[in-house]
Amino acid sequence: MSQDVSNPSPPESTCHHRAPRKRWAAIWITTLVLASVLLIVAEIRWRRAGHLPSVADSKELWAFHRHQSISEDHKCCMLIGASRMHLGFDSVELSSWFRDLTVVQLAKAGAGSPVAVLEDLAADAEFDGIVLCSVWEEWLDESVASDQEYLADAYDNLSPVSIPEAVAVGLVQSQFVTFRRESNFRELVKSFVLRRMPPRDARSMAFSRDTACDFSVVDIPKLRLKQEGGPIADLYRKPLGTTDHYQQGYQRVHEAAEAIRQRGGEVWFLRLPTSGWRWKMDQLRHPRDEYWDRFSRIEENTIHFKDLEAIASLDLPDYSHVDYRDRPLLMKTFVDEIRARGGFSDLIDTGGTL
Amino acid sequence: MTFNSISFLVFLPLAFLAAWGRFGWPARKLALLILSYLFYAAWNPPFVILLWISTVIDWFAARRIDRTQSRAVKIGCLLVSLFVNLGMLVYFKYGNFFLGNFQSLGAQLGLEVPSGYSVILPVGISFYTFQTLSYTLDIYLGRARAAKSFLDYALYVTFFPQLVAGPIVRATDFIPQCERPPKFRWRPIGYGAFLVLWGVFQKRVMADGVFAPVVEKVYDTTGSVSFIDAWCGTIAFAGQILCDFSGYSIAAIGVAMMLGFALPDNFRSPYAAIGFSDFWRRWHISLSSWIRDYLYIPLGGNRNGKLRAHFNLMLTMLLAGLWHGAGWTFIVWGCLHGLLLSMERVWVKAVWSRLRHASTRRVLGALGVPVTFLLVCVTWIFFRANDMTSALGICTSAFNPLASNRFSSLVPFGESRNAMLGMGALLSLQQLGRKRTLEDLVSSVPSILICFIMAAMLVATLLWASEDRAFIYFQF
Repeated sequence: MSQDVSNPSPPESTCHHRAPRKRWAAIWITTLVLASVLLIVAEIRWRRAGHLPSVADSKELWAFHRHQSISEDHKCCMLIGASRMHLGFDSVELSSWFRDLTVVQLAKAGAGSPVAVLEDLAADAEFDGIVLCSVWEEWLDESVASDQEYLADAYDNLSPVSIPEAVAVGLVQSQFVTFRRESNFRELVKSFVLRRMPPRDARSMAFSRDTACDFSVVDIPKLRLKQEGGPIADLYRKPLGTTDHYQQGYQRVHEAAEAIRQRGGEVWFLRLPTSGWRWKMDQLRHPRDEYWDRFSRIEENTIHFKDLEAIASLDLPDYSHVDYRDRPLLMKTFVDEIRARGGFSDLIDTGGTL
Repeated sequence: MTFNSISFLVFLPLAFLAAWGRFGWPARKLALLILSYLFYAAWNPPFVILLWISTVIDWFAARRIDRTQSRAVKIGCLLVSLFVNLGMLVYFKYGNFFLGNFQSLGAQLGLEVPSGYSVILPVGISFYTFQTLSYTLDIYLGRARAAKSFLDYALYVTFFPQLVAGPIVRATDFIPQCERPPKFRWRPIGYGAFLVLWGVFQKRVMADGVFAPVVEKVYDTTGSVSFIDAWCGTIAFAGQILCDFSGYSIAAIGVAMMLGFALPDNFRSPYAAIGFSDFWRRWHISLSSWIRDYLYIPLGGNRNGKLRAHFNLMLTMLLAGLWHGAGWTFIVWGCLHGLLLSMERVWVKAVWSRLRHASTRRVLGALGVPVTFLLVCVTWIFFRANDMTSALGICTSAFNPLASNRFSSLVPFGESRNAMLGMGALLSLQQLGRKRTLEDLVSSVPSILICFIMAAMLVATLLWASEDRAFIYFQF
C-alpha cells in the first residue's frame, strides 16, 4: 500500500519516544558543574606550576592577521620569515614604538622560505606598507620559493567561517593555560595520576602570533647537542642549489620588493643572528661573500646582523633563536639601522623604548 | 561548519530558536530552511545553487509524475530527474577520475590533452542526490504521493543535520513530521544534546585523537610497512572510520532531536555483526537500505535464480563502492564485499542450515564476530589506501610477515598502544550494543554515573589536542 507523504493526519515526530526516561535537565546541570570544576582545578594547577597560556598557530589565524595588512588610518608593517622572526620580533612592542603603526606578525615557525608571502604582498595592489623580511641564505634558492605558498592560498581561499572560528579558538587559548595544546587531556590525566606536573614549555604564543621563548627553563647543553645531531643538522646535508637557482631567487625577491616600493612601501631584508655551531655551518654552506654579498649587490635594503655591533656576537641558547629578554635589543638594533639608512621615514616615535 | 566547531556552538542556539520560537510553524520551518542553506554555504557558498537545482527539478518532476496518468510522461519526468541528479553527481564526483584517465590515455597515444583542470567536489552531493532521487523514485513506483508543500519538501532535502553526511532520510519518514509542529519536551532535547556530545567525543577524541595518527603513519608512508604496522594501521582505521562516521550520524540524530525531528539510525554496533549481511544491516544502514530498495530489488534481487542473485549482489556492491568515489580502490572494496556476501550465502545454504547441534551453532556463531570483523578490516585496506599499489603493499605485509624488509615500527609504541586499547573499548561497547539500542544502554546506567561519564567526555573533547580533520564521509 502506498504511503502518502502528505498524509492529512500525519504522525508527530517520534524523537521523544527514543529518549530514555531520565531527568536530563538535572543531568546536564550536574555535568556542566562537574566539568567546570575540573577545568578550574586544572587551570589553577597549570598556573601554579608556572605554565603560561599559548595559542596554537594555524593558517586560519595567519590569514586573520594577514587581513590587517590594509589600513587607511595606520601604516602597516608586516613581519615575515620563519621561527627567527617569530621569536625575535614582538609586533605589539614594535607597534608601541611608533605613532599610527600597526605591526603584524606573519612569520611562520618551521615553514621555510617566506618568498611566497612576500610575492603575495607584492601582488596585493592595496598593500603599501613596510615589510621586514627575515632571510636565511638557504631560502634564496629559487626552488624553495614556494614553501609558504599554502599560507597565501589560505588567505585567498578559506571558507567564510574558518577565520572567525580560528580567532575564537585563539582568544580562548590566549587566556587559559588549560586550553594550550601542550596541556592537553592526556597530560592533565597524567598529572592527576602521577601527582606531578609536566615541565614548563619554553615557548608561548600570544594571540598576535608573537612568540616568546624563555630559555631559562631549558637544559641548554642538552638542547645544543640535540641541534647538532638532529633534523637541523640534516638541513645542512641537503644538496645545495646551483648558482643559477640562487641568482634567479635574488632576482625574484628583488622584483617583489620593487613592486611594493613602487606603491610607496618599504621592504627590508634582515639576516637575523645565528651563533656557535649554526653560524659555523651557515658559513661552510653559504660563505657570506659568495651568497649574502651577491644578494646585497642586487637588493640594496639588506642588513646582516654581523654588521651590527650590538648583536654581532650574540650567544644564542639554541644557536638560532633569541631568548625573549633579548628581543628588545635585537629589534632596537635593526630598527636603528633601518632608520640610519633612511627607512621608516614617515613614522613618528612615541618616545617609548626607542 | 561541522558539529565539532565553535561556529556550530553559535549556530545551534539560532537553529534552536528557529525550531521552538513563538511564531507560526510555517515561519519556523522557513527559518530552519534558511539556516540550513547558511549551514551549507559555510563551506562554499556557490554550491548552494546545485542544491536548489536538485530541489526544484525533483519537486516539479515528482508532482508531474504524481498527477499524470500517462506512462510516457511519468517515464519522461523520471528520466529528467535521473539525468539532472546523476549528471551532477557524475560530473562533480567522477569528473577528475575520467579526466585523469583521459589524460593518461592521451599521453600514451601521444596526444596533447590540456591539464591543470580539476573539478571541486561539493560537500554532501552524494547524500542529497540520493535523498531527492529516493523521493522521485518512490512516487514513480507508487510507494508515496507527492508532498503538498514546497517548503516541507525543501526542508526535507536541505535539513542541515543530515545534509552533508547523512543519514539518508526517506521523504515518507521526514515530510509527515513537517506537517504538524512537534511538542516542546525537555527529554528529547536533553537526550539529543547527550547524543551530540557522544558523537563529537567519538569524532574528536577517538577518531581524530586516538586512531588517526596511527592510520596516517601507516597508510601515508611511501615505503613498505611491517606486518605489525599493517595490522595495527588497518585495525586503527576500522576504529577511525566507525567513530568518525557513526559519530557524525549520532550527532546529526541528536541535533535533529533537539529541534523536534526524528532521523533514522545509521549504525547499530556493526563490529558485533555475525556475517556480512548482518554487517550491512548495521553499517551505514540508510545507504544499504537505499541500495537494497532502489537497486538490488529492482535488479531482481534473489527472485530470478541463484546465479542471478549472486550477480545482482556483486553489481550492487560494486555500485556501492563507486558511490564512495571514483577510484580502483573503491571498486575493489565494493567487489570484495559483494564476494563476501555471495560466499556467505553459499555457506549458509550448504553448511549453516544443515547444522543440527545447537552447541556447534553456538561455537560457530561466537567465532562469527571476530572472523567478520577481521575480514571487514581486510576490505578497509582498499577503502583507506591512497592507491592500488599502496593497498596491495599493505595486504602483502599483512598476510606475509616476511614480505617487508622493514622491521622497525613506523608508529610510536604509545600511539599504537592507545589505538589498540581504544579499539578494545570500542569492540566491548559494540558487543554490549549487539542486541540492545543505545537508549537501552543509557536507561540501564544510573543518572549520577551518566553525569560523571558526560563530564569526562566533555572535558576530553574540549582539551584533546589533536589536529582538526574533516569528517571522512564529507568527501563522499
